[in-house]
Amino acid sequence: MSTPAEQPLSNSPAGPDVPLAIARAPRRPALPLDPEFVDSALTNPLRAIDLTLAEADRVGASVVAGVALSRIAFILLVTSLLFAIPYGCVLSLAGWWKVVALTLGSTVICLPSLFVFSSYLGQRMRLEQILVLGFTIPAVAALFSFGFAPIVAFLRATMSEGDTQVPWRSISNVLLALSVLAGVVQLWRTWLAARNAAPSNLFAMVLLVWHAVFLHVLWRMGTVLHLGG
Amino acid sequence: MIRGALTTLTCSALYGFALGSAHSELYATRNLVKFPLLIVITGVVCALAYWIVARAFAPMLSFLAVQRATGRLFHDMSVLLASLSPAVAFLAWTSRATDDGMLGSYDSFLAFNVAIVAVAGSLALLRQTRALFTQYGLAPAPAKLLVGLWLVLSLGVGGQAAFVMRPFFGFPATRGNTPPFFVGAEPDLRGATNFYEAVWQTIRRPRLPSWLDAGAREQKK
Repeated sequence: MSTPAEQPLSNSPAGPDVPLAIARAPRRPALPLDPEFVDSALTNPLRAIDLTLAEADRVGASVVAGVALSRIAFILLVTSLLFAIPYGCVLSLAGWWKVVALTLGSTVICLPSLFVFSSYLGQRMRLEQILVLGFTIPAVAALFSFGFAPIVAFLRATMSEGDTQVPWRSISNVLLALSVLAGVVQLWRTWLAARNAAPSNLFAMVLLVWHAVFLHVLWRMGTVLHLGG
Repeated sequence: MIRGALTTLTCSALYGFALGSAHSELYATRNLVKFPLLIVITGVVCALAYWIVARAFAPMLSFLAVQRATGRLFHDMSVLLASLSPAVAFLAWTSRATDDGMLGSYDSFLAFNVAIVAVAGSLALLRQTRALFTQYGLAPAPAKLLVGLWLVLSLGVGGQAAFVMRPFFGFPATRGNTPPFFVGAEPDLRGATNFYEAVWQTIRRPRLPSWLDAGAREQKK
């Protein structure tokens, strides 16, 4: 059975009731974010979540156009800080800061290298552009960890701490890894919309190699923070 | 919405009753509460994660719309399973009447139920994917990915919730005992103390305790 999107708009057996929104239209380039929307995201957490998770194309367009970049970077930074705290509290109340340190800390440590290497190779990206791209990872990871926090709290409450082959901390590490992976995917979604900001594809290569450095630092940070248990 | 929730709870209670009948009336009646509770706990624990995942793939879905969509997943699955309750009850009663009082047909009954839960889950998944596609204009690929992720989250949390809330139906050898309502993190027969360890052990298949293993081998002969 064919889906509405596969049916031609004319002679549709479903008749004129099929919503036109379902038909796939050619994709238009995304517009930069409205500065008023960005301003409202500074005070409205739901809009900050939307900006971080749902507007990769438009954030990318903003990176190209240079619209409200420092404010977007600030929102991503605050999102990275605040939304990672609940998961940290679930791991241990005294170590509430550890997830923030893991994701945001690793990013902050690695961002200078991304900026310097891309500049050195002639990719004239502004610091704000690099910050927006870089903070996408910890911000998205923080939001996913926020969503996973009740799950980890439930697992912690129902699983024994003792001798077991699959402790709750292992599941927690998998969920944290998934959160960071979601951040990396979002960074590339944003970059695909922002690739005109760099003069050549060399920046994508720099970004790819930078991921290796970032993931190594992230792994080390996780070990140092004893997040593995 | 309330009517849908009541249908979900009633249908899941029916299926739970049929499942528990394989062991005893005690297990069957307890399942009338346990199965709906299992769905409620899974839905509540995953609610935030469902929404955060949806923000990334389907920004047009509000928090309430996400809860409705995932609720419909559970609803469809419960209705499908409830329709199979007479068949499950028949298998449960016949195997109970003819088992050896040790392992009985526990493995085949478990396999049958895993299969029907998988089929019901997949059908519910397909229907919800189509619903997201038609109602919200979500493209097929993200709709499939989103509903698939919801299902993985539900499976991960629901599996652990079910492990804590066991027994739903036990070995015939345990008939006559009155176990606690929820066994919790007590080790199962193979020593697993949580759902994920139990899955791991299902893959590795360590031996059952000797008293039960001997009964199973005897039955195979």
